This record gives sequence, structure tokens and C-alpha cells, in this order.
Amino acid sequence: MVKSSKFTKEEELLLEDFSRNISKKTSLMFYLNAFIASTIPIWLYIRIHMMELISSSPLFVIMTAASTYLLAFAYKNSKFVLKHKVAQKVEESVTKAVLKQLGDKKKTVKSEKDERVLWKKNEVADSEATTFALFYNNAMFLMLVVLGSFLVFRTLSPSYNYFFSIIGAAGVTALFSTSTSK
Amino acid sequence: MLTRLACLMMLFIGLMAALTSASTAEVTPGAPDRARLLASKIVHNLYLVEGSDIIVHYSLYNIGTAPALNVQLTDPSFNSDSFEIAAGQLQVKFERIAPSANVSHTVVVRPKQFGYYNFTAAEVSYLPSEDSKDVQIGYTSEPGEGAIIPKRDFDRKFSPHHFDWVIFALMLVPTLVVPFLMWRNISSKYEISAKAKGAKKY
Amino acid sequence: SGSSVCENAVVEASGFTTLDATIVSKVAYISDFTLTCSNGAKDISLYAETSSGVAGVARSLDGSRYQVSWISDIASAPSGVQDIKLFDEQGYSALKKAQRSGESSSGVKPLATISLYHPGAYRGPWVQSETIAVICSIAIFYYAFKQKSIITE
Repeated sequence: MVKSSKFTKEEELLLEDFSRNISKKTSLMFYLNAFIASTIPIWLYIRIHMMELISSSPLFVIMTAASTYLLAFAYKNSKFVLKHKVAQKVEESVTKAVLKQLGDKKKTVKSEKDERVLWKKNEVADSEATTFALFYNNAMFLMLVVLGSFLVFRTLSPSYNYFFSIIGAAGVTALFSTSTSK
Repeated sequence: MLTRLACLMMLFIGLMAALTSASTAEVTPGAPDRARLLASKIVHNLYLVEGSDIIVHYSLYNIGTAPALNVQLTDPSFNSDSFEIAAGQLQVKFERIAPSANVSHTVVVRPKQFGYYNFTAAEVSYLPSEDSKDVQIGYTSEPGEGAIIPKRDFDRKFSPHHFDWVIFALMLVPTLVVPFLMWRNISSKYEISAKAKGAKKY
Repeated sequence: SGSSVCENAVVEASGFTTLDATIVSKVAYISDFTLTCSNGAKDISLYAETSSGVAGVARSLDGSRYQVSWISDIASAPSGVQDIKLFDEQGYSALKKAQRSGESSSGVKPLATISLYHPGAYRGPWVQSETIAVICSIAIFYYAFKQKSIITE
């Protein structure tokens, strides 16, 4: 039998597993979350550091755009790294859960069972990695913004404080997301 | 020899007398007692803020040997255009300040404007002794120049912003709380098994 | 200079104390008052005993008003009713005599007593909200970091 160039479902899932590509839906969600996370510090700066919203709006727009890009980048990287690890970790319990669900249907073939497990594992790992990537990176970003604005750069004028805090926090978050050693 | 001894003794006594009289505060023996006032004016503030209290404290200390009489302390430096008096009087008198005694006086003013202000000395006048008819005039120490901060700048720097932080915490809900709960929801359903460590099928 | 004795002294006082201690380094207590004697005596020299000691009382240049004032370190500034005991020359001599002989000065009866109320001075919020924010943000990240370690070990 000549093997068709088309991949089997299993191989397709494997490819998706290893691929850095994320669906349009996930991408949109990442950019939206990154945007929301990037705009939150502006509230602190206009209320506590007394920056003028209107007159500083060019700076706000530029930094929010930069931060949105960097955070989305961080989410993507984190998700990719995490998905593998999560997939390994939840393998056993996902297998159990899927088999339990299929348990009554004794007609199912082993290959189909494996496919179901693989698919479920991929789905669980994907969503867990996505949500955790959002939580983890946002926690890091916001902590760095708070530390930057009230400790590290507190002596600078509000505009410089904002610039360095945002670029520092977003940059560091993006940087740490690229490390795979952890 | 006796005369030489007598000479030495006279010298010794004379020296002792001179030393004793020198150690009593610059008063030559036989001079009448006089009062001498040392006056200080100190501003006890960490910050000078437009519209807020400035505590001005005057101290008069009599280092002379006679009581100072009809002591008048006048401070012309806080004019009513620039300062409002919250409490205390800027021109007061003390009938008598005994030797080695001190009196103090406190005034609280509030600046009406912000900017640099030079806190100048207040004037002290007194009769140095009961017989004296000449009034002695002296000045307190000068607190020097200070910067009075505008109220807006001070409020910005020091108000607690509790409300703003609460709103900030609410804004964190979609960025932190929602992803966290969603993650928790999934991870609690599919427990991480420690045995799966390194067990990769592929 | 006061030489007459004041009978049935009546005092009308208005007081001031520092209420906001965040920008000053001391708490000020000031009592501004007038003295009226039933026998019409005027020009009375007064001395006051307060929590900061006994000292001569300042008078306005025209002699109509008196002022007692003192300052205290913020940490040890007493709050509540501050008693200001007023003494004339005779009372002051009796007071000094009692102090020299080591007797309690409470035996000397004051001409009048002023009660100056100090509600306490505001020293700032007990903890800065910024500090809480820094601590919480570090704590939240630390938790997230720990969870990540569990996942990626």
C-alpha cells in the first residue's frame, strides 16, 4: 500500500502538538488580553502619578502598542513551552478519564481509543497552557510595573517612569518567556 | 626673702582673683548686673505647604545676671497678604525674665501663597536692668529661606490613593483572576501525575 | 507691672492644637485668653504651669490678651484635656518655694485653670497603600511562579 502524502489524524495532531502555530481564535484572545493588561497601568499613572491623560496620550498609545506586542509574544512562547510539559503531566489522568467515558462501548477499537486520548490530551494541554500562560505572564508583567513605578523608577518624572516601567516590565516578561530551561 | 615670698603670694592671689573673675561670664568685677537675652526663632516643619500650618517657635533665654524687664518680642515678617495667623500673637511682651530663666512663645501661621520665602529674624527689646533707661535691642536667630510647596503638589505626593488602588484591583480581575480560575478549573479536573515525568511515548 | 491681686478671676480662652502632624516636627499647644477680675484689677503678671513646666505668660502689647503656648515632640505629645494652671506673682513664688523644699506643687492654688483640649494629631495612614500593592503583586507572582515550577519540573 502506497502511503499517501496525507498525514493520518494521529500525525496531524502530533504536528499541531509540536507546532508553534496557534489558531486565529487563540491569537485574537492573546492580543486582546495583552491589550487589556497593557492599558491597566495607565490608570495608576493618571491617578497616582498625576499624569494628564490627554496630553500624554501619544506616549500612552505608543507604549500600550509596544507592550501589547511584547505580552502577546510572551503568551505565545509560554504556551508553547507549557503545552508540552502539561501534556506529559496530564497524560495519565486524561487517559483514565477518556477510557472511563468510553468504557461502556466495548466496540471501540484500540486505535480509535488512542486517537481519542491523544485528541483530549491535546485539548486539555492546549487550554491549560493557554490559561496558565495568561495568568503567569500577566502576574509577572503587573508585578514588574508596580515595582518599576513605585520602587525602581520612582524618582523619575511620571512620563519617564511610565516609559521605563512599561518597556522594562513587558521586555522582561517577553524575555523570560523565551527561556525553555525552566 | 620675706618680701620675695610676700610678692609671690600677692602674685598668686592676684592670679586667682583674675582667674575667678574671668570665669564668671565676661563680667568685670564691680560692674553692675545686667540682663542679656539670647533669642532663637525656629520653624518646626518637615514641609512648608500652602494653606497648611507652619509652627514658629521663639525662645528667649536670659544669660545675664539681672532680670530683663519689659521684654517685647515683635515679628514683622508674616504680613497679612502672604500669611494667615492660625493661632498666637506676633507681638507680645513679658514683664520679667529672671536670670538663667527662659520663656518661649509659639505662633502658627498658614501661607497664602507658594514659592520661596525668607524667614527673617524677629526683634527683641528689653530693659537690661531696673535702673537702666536705655532699651536694649536684639534679634532672634534667622530660620533662613524655605520653599513653600503648592497644595496640589503636596496632595499628589502624600494622599493615600486608597480608592485608586481598589479600582486597580478590580481591573486586575479580567487579567489575573479570570485566567487563574479557568486554569484552576482545568488543572483540578486533570491532576498532574508525578509518575508521568519523562514518560514520553513518542 | 502687676502689683494688685486679682479676685475671682474669670478666664475666657480660645485654644489651638496641631491636628495634622504629617508636615510638622512638633505638636503646638496654644491658648489665647483674657483675664477679668471682679475687683477690676488690671495688668496682672501671670505664670502658667503646663505639661512642659512653669513659665511666664506672654501678653499682647496693649496688655489685653494673654497667651500660653508650648510645643512637644510628636511621639510623646499628650492628648486629651491639658490643664493650664495660672498663677500670679504670689502664687509663682509659693510654687517655687514648694519646689525648692521638695514639696508637691499641687498644694499651691492656682488663680484659674484653663482646660485646653487636644484630640490628637493625625500622623498619616498606618500603612501606605503602595506598600500593600508591592507586597501583593510580589506574592501573586510568587504563587504563579511556584505553580509554573510544578508544571515544568
